[in-house]
Amino acid sequence: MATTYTLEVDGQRFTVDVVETGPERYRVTVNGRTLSVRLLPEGEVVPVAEAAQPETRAEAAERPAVAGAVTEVRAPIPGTIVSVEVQAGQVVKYGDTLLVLEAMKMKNLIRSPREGRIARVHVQPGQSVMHNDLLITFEG
Amino acid sequence: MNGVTFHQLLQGITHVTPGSLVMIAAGCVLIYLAIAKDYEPLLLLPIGAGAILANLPLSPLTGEDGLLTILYDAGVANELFPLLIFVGIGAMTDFGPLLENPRLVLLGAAGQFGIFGTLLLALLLGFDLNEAASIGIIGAIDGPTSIYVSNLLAPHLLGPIAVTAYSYMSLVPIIQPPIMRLLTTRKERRVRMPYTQRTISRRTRVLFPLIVTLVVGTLVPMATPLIGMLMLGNLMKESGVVERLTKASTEEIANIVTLFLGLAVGSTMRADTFLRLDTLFILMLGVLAFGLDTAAGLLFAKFLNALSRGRFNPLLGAAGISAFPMAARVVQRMVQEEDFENFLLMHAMGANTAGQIGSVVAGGVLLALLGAG
Repeated sequence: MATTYTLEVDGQRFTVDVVETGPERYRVTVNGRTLSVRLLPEGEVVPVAEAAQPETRAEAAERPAVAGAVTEVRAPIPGTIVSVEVQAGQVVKYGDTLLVLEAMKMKNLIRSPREGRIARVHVQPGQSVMHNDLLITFEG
Repeated sequence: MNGVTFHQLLQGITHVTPGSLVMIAAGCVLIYLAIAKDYEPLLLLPIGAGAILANLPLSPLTGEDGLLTILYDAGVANELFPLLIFVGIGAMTDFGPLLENPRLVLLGAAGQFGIFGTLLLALLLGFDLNEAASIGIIGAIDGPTSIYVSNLLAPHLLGPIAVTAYSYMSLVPIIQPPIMRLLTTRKERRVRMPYTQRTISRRTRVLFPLIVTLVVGTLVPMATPLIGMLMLGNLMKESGVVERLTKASTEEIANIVTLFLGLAVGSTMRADTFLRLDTLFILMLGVLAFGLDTAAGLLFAKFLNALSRGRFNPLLGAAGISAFPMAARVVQRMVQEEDFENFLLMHAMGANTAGQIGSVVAGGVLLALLGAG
């Protein structure tokens, strides 16, 4: 789950989204710019990777440095599961389609927030889900 | 066989005019768009067929007791068909996303700016006030509202206006995205907004259509027919006690009326009234109206974004129009292109239903301003 902070530096406001991607590793989005950040033992924050060009597609910049702590995929909006594209044990890449959720008669692709192996699929086609219902868990 | 009977035998061919051929071709284009491109087929196919049937030489269908004449008199001239369609739309619409996030109603108001912008431009192009208002209402991006208003203010322009409104409605996914990209930054397009799950009680859902009808009907009496029918449909849906009527409104009645309305509107595409420079202007002003609506909605949403210190995604402004659910889908698609973990569909749907109410109110305001009725 992303945590959002609003920081004020020298009178300028920044919206910061922090997602834990691994042990002491975070994906930090500051005003739309995404950085992968590793927390050093001294407590010093050092960027590990930064998007080379801010205008390149988000996926490349946002890919976590290691497969890590995002272990669940939950329903972003209520709807009906139309199809499940993965099964337990399958290895997926960042951005792979996991399942299709139909809401308000629109089919929405739920794509993988990380790479890793699927531990369990909690829903099946035809099932109605509420907001935040557990859809998929990853191993590790 | 003498010359007279021979002439009578060939009167179909001798009555073909260049104008009617052009209109038959236009009807074929509409049917092509419906079948090959899937552009609003439920409307464009009957409209195209109506245009062809009305322009065949000496077509008995448009005679005094012809089917097309009867349909036109029965449901278009007196506004019956668009109003019946509205009952069905109301019964199909879920105002839940709007009730969960009521501030979205502001976007539904902003999305109507194109009506007034287009009206002014139409006046500049030399249309009179009633005609300009009818053309402006294309900016409501709502077929039945366009038919309703233009039939009261400028019935002679009904054909071109209805055809423009319905053809462009299917072009929403093509017209909107370039404007959306132009007016927002990438950072703005990537603003995430969590889905605010708020359970809307049945009582609220039932009271909503009643209250909207009472408030809007009192403030804008000219909007009562449209908003009243829209909300009647919604009341039937939300009450849950008249499922048969709800089903009939959304299926049987809506289907029958759509067919009748399409044929009748198509039959207004006659060469003498359609093949004029005005029609070309209306087509141009129509696309402008769509663009202005989108731009106004986006700019207003950018203002909300500034007010909320960057926590409101300005793309939602493009959903504050009546084209439902196309506009909301266009917004969600673009949001996902930028960030596949961002789901603004529910917010967009809320803004979109607000746009439906907004366009009906705007239609009523226009009629009231021009003293029609």
